[in-house]
Amino acid sequence: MKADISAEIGGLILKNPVMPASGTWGYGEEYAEFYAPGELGAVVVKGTTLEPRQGNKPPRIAETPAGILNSVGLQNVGVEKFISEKLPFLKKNKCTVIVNIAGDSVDDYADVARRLMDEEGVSAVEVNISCPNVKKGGIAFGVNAASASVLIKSVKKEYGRPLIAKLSPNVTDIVEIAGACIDSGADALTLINTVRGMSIDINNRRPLLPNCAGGLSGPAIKPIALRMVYEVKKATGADIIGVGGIECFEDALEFIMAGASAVQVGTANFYNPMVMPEIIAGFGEYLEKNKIGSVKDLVGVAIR
Amino acid sequence: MNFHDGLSGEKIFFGLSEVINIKEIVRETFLIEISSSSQLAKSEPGQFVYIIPKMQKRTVLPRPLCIADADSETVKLIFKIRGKGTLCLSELGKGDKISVMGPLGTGFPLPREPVLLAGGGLGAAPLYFLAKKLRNNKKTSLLLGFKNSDEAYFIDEFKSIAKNVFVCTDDGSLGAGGNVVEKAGEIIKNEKVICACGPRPMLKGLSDFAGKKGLRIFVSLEERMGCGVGACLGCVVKIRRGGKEEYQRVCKEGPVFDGLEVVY
Ligand SMILES: Cc1cc2nc3c(=O)[nH]c(=O)nc-3n(C[C@H](O)[C@H](O)[C@H](O)COP(=O)(O)OP(=O)(O)OC[C@H]3O[C@@H](n4cnc5c(N)ncnc54)[C@H](O)[C@@H]3O)c2cc1C
Ligand SMILES: Cc1cc2nc3c(=O)[nH]c(=O)nc-3n(C[C@H](O)[C@H](O)[C@H](O)COP(=O)(O)O)c2cc1C
Ligand code: FES
Repeated sequence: MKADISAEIGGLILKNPVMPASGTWGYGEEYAEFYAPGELGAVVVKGTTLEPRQGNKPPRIAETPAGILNSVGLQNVGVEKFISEKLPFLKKNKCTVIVNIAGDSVDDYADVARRLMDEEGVSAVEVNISCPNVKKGGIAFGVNAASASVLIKSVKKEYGRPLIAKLSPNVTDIVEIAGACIDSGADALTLINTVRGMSIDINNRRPLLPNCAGGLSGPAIKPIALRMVYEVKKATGADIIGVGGIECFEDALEFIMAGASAVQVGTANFYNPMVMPEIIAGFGEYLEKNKIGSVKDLVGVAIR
Repeated sequence: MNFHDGLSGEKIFFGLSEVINIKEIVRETFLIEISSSSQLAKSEPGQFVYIIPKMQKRTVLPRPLCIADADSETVKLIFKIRGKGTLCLSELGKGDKISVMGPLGTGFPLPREPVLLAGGGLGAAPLYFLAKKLRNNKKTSLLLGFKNSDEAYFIDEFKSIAKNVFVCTDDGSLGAGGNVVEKAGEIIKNEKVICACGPRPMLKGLSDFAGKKGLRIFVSLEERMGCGVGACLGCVVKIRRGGKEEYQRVCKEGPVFDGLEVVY
């Protein structure tokens, strides 16, 4: 019997549980040099807003121990250009497309979601209620259960296919916000976005990033992300996509065992562009070696 | 774990290269020769490679280095020790393996008109590759600036591939005294194009000069990078074109940009 590495997230069936994290893999074109993007479970694209955005001032990246800080912000081409210029490539490559959406107001999010609903090629939206880099909006939705709920409800009204809420770790009680999102209609959750952090340029005696703070990602945040996936799965039973610091198959497996049904890989692509195909192969080998029928049988097995 | 074992694309190599030679050419500045590949053999001057130092000291990101020369046998890089990653590279020895991604980015055009190649410090490295490719253009001159004679490198190598090589140092300890921007004003005659690499103030100075003189100028810029392949928007610089400003990627549209369009 061939191992079943398919995954299911909020009603969406994926051929395998591995996909890039929003903002780290562009629109799939850049890494197509290394392998076909259609090999992945899904492709999650950069945070997309109603209008094009310039993003933050450089420098935008600072390396920190076992991680990186970024303050890219929401530089993106806007939803119309995404549909006309970026989506055709993904469709041609038979990708399952998940669009990460963002905005400054509830109406912004709802407008983007409505526009994407018209596009058959978009399988799901991932609502970024957690981007720590946008002064207005962004963070505000993610830190408060009541405002997260209002946002998810209004996106749900516009978007009939699977809706995934992407949560911020920069909150007091992630379980409460996760519960509010699920109660408001989210079909699944992505955990976690970057952790707010900072780096100082000691030669110039000022923060290294012009934005002062940035979002920490990479291996440094893996234990934080794992703990949050575990707690939310245990408390809510929701479908979860786990993300944060994954750089090999074993890391991905930890997330599955903690309760994630699928995983995203971000920063690790930067130092190993082949990391996602390696993880996908790892799942197949692991299942066969351990005579386990399906990845689904491993979801949450570590929960006590 | 099957970590970086020689999988790569049609245009971009990603895998292990062997260190063929490494030597300190001037204090804290190293010339490293690594084994090439079919993709790297097609490198163009101004492109770079993304090198992954051994994962010591909890570093995660690769380090971008300009290609100083490349053929089907070897790729030459010149780097200065700045921090953890470059220190790590300096400790490599013959036969060691390092992980390499490249060639990446968009390099210099190969002008047919009289051209001045202007390099400051480490910025001379990619110009060596460019000068070699321009050997058929007899109207190529080179201007190399260094802090002082102790930091100057590759002068003989440059002289062996180009006729007009000018050297200047800030303190006058080698060649003429003064910086590259001042000297460019003195030596430029009928050149129509400048190709430059070096510190930003130098590139800005040269771009201002080129603008005033009505010359074309191409500059190679540096910015902190994430992915190195255009996917993360981490490495941008501001470009002004047709009255509109936008961020472009150093790793994709760059590192070489039209100097008159860069918002310094
Ligand atoms: C396109 C490009 C080509 C380059 N070519 C050369 C070259 O040929 N020779 C050479 O000596 N140097 C070159 N540099 C600069 C070189 O990449 C940095 O000196 C090097 O990354 C420093 O790494 P580190 O670990 O020693 O320093 P650290 O300070 O420990 O580095 C910390 C982080 O900051 C980044 N960083 C630090 N300085 C720079 C910089 N100036 N530019 C970009 N990122 C930086 C590092 O990559 C790393 O992610 C180039 C930079 C770019 C962008
Ligand atoms: C350069 C960069 C850009 C990002 N852009 C976005 C974004 O647009 N929207 C979003 O929801 N998350 C964004 N993220 C967060 C990632 O999707 C992911 O949640 C985070 O990096 C943790 O995963 P990792 O440790 O595997 O990188 C970005 C992360 C990085 C490093
Ligand atoms: S480093 Fe990622 S876009 Fe240039």
